[in-house]
Amino acid sequence: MRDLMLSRFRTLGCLALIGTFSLAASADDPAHRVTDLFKTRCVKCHGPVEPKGELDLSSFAAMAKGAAGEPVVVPEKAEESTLWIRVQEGTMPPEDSGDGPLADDEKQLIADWIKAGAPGLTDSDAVHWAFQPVTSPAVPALTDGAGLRNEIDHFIQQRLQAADLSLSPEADRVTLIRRVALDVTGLPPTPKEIATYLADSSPDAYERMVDRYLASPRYGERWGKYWLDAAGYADSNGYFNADSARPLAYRYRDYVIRSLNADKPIDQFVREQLAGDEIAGYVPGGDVTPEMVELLTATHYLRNSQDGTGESDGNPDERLIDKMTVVEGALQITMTGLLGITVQCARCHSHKFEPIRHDEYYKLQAILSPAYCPDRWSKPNERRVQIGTRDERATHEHKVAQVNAQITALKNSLEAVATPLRDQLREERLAKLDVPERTRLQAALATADKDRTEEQKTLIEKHKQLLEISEDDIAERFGDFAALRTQIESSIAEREKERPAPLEEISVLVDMPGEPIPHHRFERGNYKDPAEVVEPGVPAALCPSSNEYVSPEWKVDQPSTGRRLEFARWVTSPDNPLFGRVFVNRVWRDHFGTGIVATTENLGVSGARPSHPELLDYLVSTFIREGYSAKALHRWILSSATYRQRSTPEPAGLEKDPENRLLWRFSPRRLDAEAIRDSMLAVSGVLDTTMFGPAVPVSRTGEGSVIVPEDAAGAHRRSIYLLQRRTEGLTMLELFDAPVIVTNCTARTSSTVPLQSLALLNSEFALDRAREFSHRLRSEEDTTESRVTLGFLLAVGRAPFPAERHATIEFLQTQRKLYAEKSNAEELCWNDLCQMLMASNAFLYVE
Amino acid sequence: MTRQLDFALNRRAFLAHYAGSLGGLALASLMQDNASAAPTLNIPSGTHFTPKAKSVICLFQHGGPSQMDLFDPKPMLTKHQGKPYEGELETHFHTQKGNVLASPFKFSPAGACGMELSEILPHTAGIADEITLVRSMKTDSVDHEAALRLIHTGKIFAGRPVLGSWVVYALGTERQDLPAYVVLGDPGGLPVDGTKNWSSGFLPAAYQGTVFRSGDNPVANLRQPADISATARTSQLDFLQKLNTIHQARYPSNTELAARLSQYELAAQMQTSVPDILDISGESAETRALYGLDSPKTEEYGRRCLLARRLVENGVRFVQVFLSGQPWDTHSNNAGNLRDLCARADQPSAALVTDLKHRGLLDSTIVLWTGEFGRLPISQQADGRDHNRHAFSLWLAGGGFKRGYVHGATDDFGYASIENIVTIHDLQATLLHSLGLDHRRLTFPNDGRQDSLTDAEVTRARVIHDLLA
Repeated sequence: MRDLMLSRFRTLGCLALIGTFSLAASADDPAHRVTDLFKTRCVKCHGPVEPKGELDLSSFAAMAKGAAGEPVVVPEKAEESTLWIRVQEGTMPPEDSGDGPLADDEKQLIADWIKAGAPGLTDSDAVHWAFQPVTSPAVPALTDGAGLRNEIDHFIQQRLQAADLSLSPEADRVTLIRRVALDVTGLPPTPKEIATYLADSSPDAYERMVDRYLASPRYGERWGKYWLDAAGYADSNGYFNADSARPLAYRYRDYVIRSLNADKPIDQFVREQLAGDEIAGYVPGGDVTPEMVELLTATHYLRNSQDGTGESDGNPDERLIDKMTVVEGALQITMTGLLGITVQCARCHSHKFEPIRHDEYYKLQAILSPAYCPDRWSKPNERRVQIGTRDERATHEHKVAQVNAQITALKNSLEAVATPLRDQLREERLAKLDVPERTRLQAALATADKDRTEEQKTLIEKHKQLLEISEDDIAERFGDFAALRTQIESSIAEREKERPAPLEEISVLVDMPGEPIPHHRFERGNYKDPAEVVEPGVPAALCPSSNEYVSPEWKVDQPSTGRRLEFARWVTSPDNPLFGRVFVNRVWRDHFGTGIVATTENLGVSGARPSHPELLDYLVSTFIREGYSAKALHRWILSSATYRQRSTPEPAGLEKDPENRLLWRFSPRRLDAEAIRDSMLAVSGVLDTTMFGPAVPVSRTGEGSVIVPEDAAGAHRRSIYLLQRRTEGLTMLELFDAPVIVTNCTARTSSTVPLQSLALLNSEFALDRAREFSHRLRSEEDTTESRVTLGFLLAVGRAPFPAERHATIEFLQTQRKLYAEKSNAEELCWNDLCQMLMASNAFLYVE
Repeated sequence: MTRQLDFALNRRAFLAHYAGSLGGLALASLMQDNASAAPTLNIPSGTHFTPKAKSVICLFQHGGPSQMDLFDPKPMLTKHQGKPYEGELETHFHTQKGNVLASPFKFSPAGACGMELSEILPHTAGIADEITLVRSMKTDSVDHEAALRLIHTGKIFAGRPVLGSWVVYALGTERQDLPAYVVLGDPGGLPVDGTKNWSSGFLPAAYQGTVFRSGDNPVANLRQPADISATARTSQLDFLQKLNTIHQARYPSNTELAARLSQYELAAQMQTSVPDILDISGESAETRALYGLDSPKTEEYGRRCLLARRLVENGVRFVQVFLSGQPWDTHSNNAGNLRDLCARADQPSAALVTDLKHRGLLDSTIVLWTGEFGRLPISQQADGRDHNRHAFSLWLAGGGFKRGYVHGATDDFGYASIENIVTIHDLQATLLHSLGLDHRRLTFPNDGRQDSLTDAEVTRARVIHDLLA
């Protein structure tokens, strides 16, 4: 019960009040409520792994097996059910469980459930739904298919009809194009794009519009950010206060954007990130050919976790923990990001909720241990390779050495000429001193350093300036030397031109050479207390017989263990029950605001149940069958009548399903942080669409805000290209809930706080954009009317409603009076209007 | 940052937590999209039982103040001065282990209670009868960042909510135009581990601490641009209100949109309420002298301690005062540095307690003076002290804590707490208890489970009732 409620609450955190919540229909079901109650109050001891009293209450199937085979629930007969007896007498949960006794209503729930015949107990599945194979459910046949566009709608409409609801009518075209543009590209539609769509009268105008946005390079920049968040991407190492830089991480960011834009099949995309080096056949120190670059770059995925080992300065125990923290982070990112399951609990003990044993956690670690081995550790900056074949790198090295040698020779030849001239100049200077002083000084100079008296040292110090003769001094005294120096300097410059550009480097994760060192289970997660050796492996509960992890055998001279490649195969196998579901569910969430499983980061036993389980499996099985194309999935979802609905509420829907869990309308929602910043740049006409490359630096102002200085190169590029140090997120983005990456972020929150309003009212960024937007309106249109129209078209994707137009004209008049005294009154009025447009809800929300 | 919606979130969370199946009903009604009235969800706190305190000021002394030089007299150190320490010691810089290092400072009994305090804490001695001194603290890490996370969030790893965030999540605020959780940063810069010290972790971002910066723009974007007049701003906001009302008409029942509408007004209120609070010109000469504002040594820290009082007085729930860097990290010149730090922090810290008491605010405000760990009885190289997780001292005042009370003890050398040990988790549980919150029931879903500040099942955290009056 509590668990479920809080799952709902968490969704609330993510979506604030637009949110949709795991639906009443399933939540109110007593069978589900009772399992939720067991999960929160009993499963800590009576869980799937080593349950106390051999009673597992984590699922109906387990419960049906009873305690050591003895039934604990007798349907319809609470007083004969051991479970009820224990609960009623108060012996369960025991006093020392820490959570106190069950509340009366909680007890009642159990009694009622048993009295009702313990629904679900006997007809339950043996395995948690998400660990079962993905099925291909039949598309529901509906008697009335009017208004439906594809299979998705059949599943949605079936549930709506059962609740006496139906899909809302289709939204108008201007609403749809803004919704699609922001959803797919993170930028509002341009007036030209709107005009093209509105002018297209063909029946597939909408689909063509969707395809145009999916083909835009801006697509990968938006959806890439979601991937990077789940992958825990950051441009810094974190962990310690230093938060040192990760100068090569951007290449991974670019790899993600490129891959998504190219619609690389998602299974391949993931395999590359887990084992690109092994796919490429990379040999440490061997060739890095152009074809291998992409695959090796992908492995930075496993490098995204915090890594303080470049700065560790503690005692040996602390250093070991610092190293193992990197492994833990990489594992956490992989398991939550790709499989939607939490494993960290199993580091110290068998998982209380999920069927993951303590030793299985270390089996997972053993997959990474050849690359992240504490005894063969590389610091973060050492985990990089140069691009080029061995020959190319050797040639490069040779060339560099050659240039260096030539330059040294030139410098030496100049010095050879300078030495006697320096001596001569010194003599000339000494000659100017009076004789006794000169004699003393010469004597001091003639004495070896260590034998000099204090007096002599002082004397030398006194004449320091006289004695120190620079090349410039020589050149000034001897014209010939000056000429020679100029000549040699130009020769050096010539040689420098021959110096080859440094070889490009990529940040990678590869196995350390040599036979892998055995990995252990660690008692209670204590790395000082190794227990038995564990082989690489994965949780048994996630392994149908058709998809087991087969640990590769080690062979001498093998460049890599192949453990990650096998893991990559296992993760992305069509028979992995979680991989497809997690990905598809997250895409759904990013289109509709809530996933089919509301806890997108957790599809495990402790996660929420799907609102539309058949739809989810239908989508997943089709996604897999059709080659893991993300763009096809987007196209499918975006083409549904479900997606194309109006967002305005209907009384029936509000009454029966206020949270819109059944999707009787499209839920309006606030733009996310990046979309707000990027849209402001786009609307004001200054968006710089340069793609890829090193991150745009940010800086902290004296007052403590993190900004991109307006005059910095790339200041107006999209947010994904800004430097993402863990400790230095852009203030403008963080205010609007951009994640601060610690491990990774698979679900964002959305808050509504006055600091956001202050940013839109007072920040330099908002004021600068308003000035540019205003300038744009004034230079593109001549009349007040047409400027107002264009302003709304740019900011909210449509012409103003009459009431908006009226209010706007009135506002302009008011401001004109206020600014009457000023020479730039007209400009100020439009600046104000533009700023308010970009602060308005019509701009900040997609409908 | 607190605002109406937070209360909505908050209330829901509590209903979901504590109201059992009733919560389901209440939750459903709260979730209804048809609460057409603007949300008026400024509900009273969601405490589990009657609270003693309602606000907290944490004077955080990071770096690890040396207990044997400040709070915990150890004659045995003097006796063994310069001799090798007999027994095992855990060090952070294991290659720089020295011999036993006595404290050069005299200790004498203070107040009617006779609590022994170091001569470099004369002002703290003056409030001895108001405080609970804990000499038996213990934490789990000798690494600064990890130890900071432990004392603030309960675990060594980053990404978890700090105590202040949990408190604000549970209790909300009394003032909508002020952040509920304020951090008074050092003008010299961020403390070690930076913004993580006030991060809301897996709680919604709205519960993180808001830094009030020194200077004339204490909150990001608070200052109205110079070229926008008050009248111009008013008509801007009027216009914005009109646009948003037109938009809202399409979604008459959407509480988030309604809330955002009111945010602009709150933002405008903040522009006056925050500077008002930060303006201390109305404070009496007596008060200014109490905090040491008349002396260059104490002026800066004194000012922030005074601001802490003004914030609490105005309904702010949680205030943290930090120093730049980690000043108490006395790896070298331990004695000299301590003398200097106490000259800076002792008077303002004690003044805060005195002032709160004088104004009748001490009973409802907890003042916590602590670092993240302690220091070793041996020297590090010549004259420094290395980190120590096995013992440190801290003091608490007000908010239901005992007055003139010393709790627990360390061994003869001050290396390890041995009597009535208080772990940082116990401390957290006890602080929450004083605020009317049960640390085992104040939870939030994370990583597939109900997570909490103390994670009592693992840490065995318990409320130390002996500390409470």
